[in-house]
Amino acid sequence: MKKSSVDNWDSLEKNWREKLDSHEEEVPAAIWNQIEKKLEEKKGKAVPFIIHRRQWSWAAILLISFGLGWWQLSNPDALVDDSKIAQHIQTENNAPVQNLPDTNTPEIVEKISSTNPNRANRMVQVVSHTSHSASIQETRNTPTSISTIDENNTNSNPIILADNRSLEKEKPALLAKEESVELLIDIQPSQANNQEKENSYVPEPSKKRHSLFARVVKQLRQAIDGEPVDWQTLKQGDPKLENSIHQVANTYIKTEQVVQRTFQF
Amino acid sequence: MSKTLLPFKSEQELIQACQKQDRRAQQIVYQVNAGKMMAVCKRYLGVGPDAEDALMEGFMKVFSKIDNFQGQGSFEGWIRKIMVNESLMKIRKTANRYDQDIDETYDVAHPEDALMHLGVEEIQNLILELPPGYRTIFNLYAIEGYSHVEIGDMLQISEGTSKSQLSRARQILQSKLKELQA
Repeated sequence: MKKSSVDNWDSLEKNWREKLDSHEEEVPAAIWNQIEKKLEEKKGKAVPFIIHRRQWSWAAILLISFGLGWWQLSNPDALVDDSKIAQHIQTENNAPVQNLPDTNTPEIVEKISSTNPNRANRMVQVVSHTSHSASIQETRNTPTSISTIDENNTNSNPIILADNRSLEKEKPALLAKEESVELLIDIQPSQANNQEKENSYVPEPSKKRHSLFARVVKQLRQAIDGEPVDWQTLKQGDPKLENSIHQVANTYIKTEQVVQRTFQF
Repeated sequence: MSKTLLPFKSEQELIQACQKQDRRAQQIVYQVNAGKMMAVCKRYLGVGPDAEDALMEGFMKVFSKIDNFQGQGSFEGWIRKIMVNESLMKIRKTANRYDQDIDETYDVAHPEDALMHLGVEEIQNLILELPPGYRTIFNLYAIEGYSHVEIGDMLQISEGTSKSQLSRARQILQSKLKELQA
């Protein structure tokens, strides 16, 4: 077989290309109808967001409101009322005796007493009763020993920790010898200062405090009315909370503006 | 094309209207090009529902991607490329017809003079009688004007395979003509 000349085939294909280029085939009419139907469907899918834009703004407002509510519920620590804190502190002062865990107490006691036995700063006195074989019941109450310590240390305002549970575990034979160990534990000065501040806090019972949400809404209303807004009043000294409030407030104001523009009121 | 563009003054205006999803403009674009594009799809897919599907899906793509048309080259050429791609996608879905990775090129005789004088219908029928793999490569190379490198990229085959399949297609066309003359 003779090898073909490329030029010949190329010229033939060029000839065919020119003829086929302008060639048209009959097209069924149904095809355009189907295309038109598909285009309508596609257009219909794009419409809802535009139509329901108003509903979207209301949904955004609702979402923000629920979000604030949820946030308030999920962060109770950040939103505890000051009066509750004061109440809690008062309750603590009325019950100065706290039980320590069995396992930790002896170690802490020994360590501290061996390293700093003579410190006279603000102290926590830990009284460990290891005897009282004659009457365990009497020892459990130990009102005299605690009250004595209280009287002696009224100025320093100590917290007294008594470990009574160890009594139940020890054998009577080992409890024959009566002894009382008094232990002194340092508290950080800053903690002590905080404690002083907490103890010195006096709430104003007559002044009714609004919830955080109500205060946020109040500030937002002021912002919308063009009045100066003081976000610090919502929660002072908590930058994380302040930032969150700022973000939520900005979103709220923007949404409010969109709604106002949409409904033109 | 200009006589069917009314009420649009130019092709540019028609395209701009299509970009705004003007239904009338879309219909004009379809009416002007559908016949030619149907011929393209049939050349690849033969007579049947596949060609009609490719045409319909091709025009849907034309209207959805019309924002991408930058005016470089002719509008008809851009539509034609879309139709060719749609046809190739249909072929790919049906079967893998390019698995013969053969670098061998066949010796093909000079094309008969009679081939130069064939009418459009006869050319169309001759091409359609080619096996799908050869037909696709012959269409892409001889009719659309793509190079073997471009065909290799489009069909995910080697350049050698494209060349060998083209020479085989030519050989088949030659023998088909002899059958016709005999």
